[in-house]
Amino acid sequence: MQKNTIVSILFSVAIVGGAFYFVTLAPDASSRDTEAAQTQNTEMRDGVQYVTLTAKGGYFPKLSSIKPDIPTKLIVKTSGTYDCSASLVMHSVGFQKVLAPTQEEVIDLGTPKPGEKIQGVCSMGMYNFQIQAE
Amino acid sequence: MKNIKPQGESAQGNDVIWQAIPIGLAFLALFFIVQKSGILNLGLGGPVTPVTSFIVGLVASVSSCLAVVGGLVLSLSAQVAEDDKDNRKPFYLFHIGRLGGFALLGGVLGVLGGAIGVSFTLGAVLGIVASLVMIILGLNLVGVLNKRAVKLPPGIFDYFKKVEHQAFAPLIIGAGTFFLPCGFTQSMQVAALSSGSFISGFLIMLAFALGTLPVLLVLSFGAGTFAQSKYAPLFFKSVGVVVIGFGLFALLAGLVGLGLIDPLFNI
Repeated sequence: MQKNTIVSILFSVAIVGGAFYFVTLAPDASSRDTEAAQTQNTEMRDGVQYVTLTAKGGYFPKLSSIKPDIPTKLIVKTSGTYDCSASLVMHSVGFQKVLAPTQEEVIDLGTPKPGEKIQGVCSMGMYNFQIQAE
Repeated sequence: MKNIKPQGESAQGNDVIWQAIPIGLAFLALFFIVQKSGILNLGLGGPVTPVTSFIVGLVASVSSCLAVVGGLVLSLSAQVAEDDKDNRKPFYLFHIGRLGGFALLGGVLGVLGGAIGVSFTLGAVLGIVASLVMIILGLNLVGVLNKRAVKLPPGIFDYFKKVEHQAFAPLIIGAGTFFLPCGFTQSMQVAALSSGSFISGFLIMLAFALGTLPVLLVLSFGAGTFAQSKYAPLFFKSVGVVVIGFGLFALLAGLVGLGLIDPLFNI
């Protein structure tokens, strides 16, 4: 093997490793994730459990937990959202819609069973969120 | 390793790929870091006007949509330039097709209004087709699928060469990018849908396409310019690496969007 080849491979490994670290492990640049996770995003109103997410450059919080066996509705808030997170797909509840740039969309999640996971993605698939009944 | 090289390819040809891989990967890493940083999440309120959609187009052209639309433009342009470095006609036709197609289809959306919806499945399927085209062209540019090295299903590249010298194919592909999956495009399509008239839908989508034009022009004509320089071999192989990366990203994302696999990443 030539020297160039070895240098090239070392460089490539460093770049991929660095990028991987930045994208997956490093603290979130926007840190909205952690902020939102600390505030409670579920609320009971008239016997219905509401979960609230914001959609802009992704869905926040990315992971929500709800109580099972209660009728549940999801509120997705957009504010000046034009990116992929505005076009929301939830395969398990058969929902797909391009949300208006600024609105609150209420989506009926039915009555989730214990252990049920509800997942949403944007239409291009690069943003996602999960709601877990536990 | 087999050593049956055509006369033109020197021993340096092998070294080029080892320079191209880090260059291509560095570009991909930079791209995904920019996406992750969130600096593209601009706040624009109020109703969508052609001015808004122009700005959204500017942002979209460097967003993750670049991985699909830009990747396709880059791979097709590099392939055209590699086959015939002086042939610029397909580039012009592609961009004319894209601007015209967006404007006309935007106008149609404005007329039809709520009568139709934006199809997610069509977009996702076309996105997967585009990602496969990118991966095949990328492998070809890198040289893995080189006509001399690996036997391809015969005819694919011959067919491609025939098509790239015709006028309608670049026009149609340009207009067809309207349907490629891109969140920003979809938002603008919905805005055009609710705009209520042919002319307002026409203007919104035309302004959006104009916003994405500078980056796409750089990609296609940049490819043509590099093809004529002495860095052409390095350029084509680096583009190949980038396009394969974009293609894999678009493919996985498309499968997630269709609900066929679980999300693997959250850019």
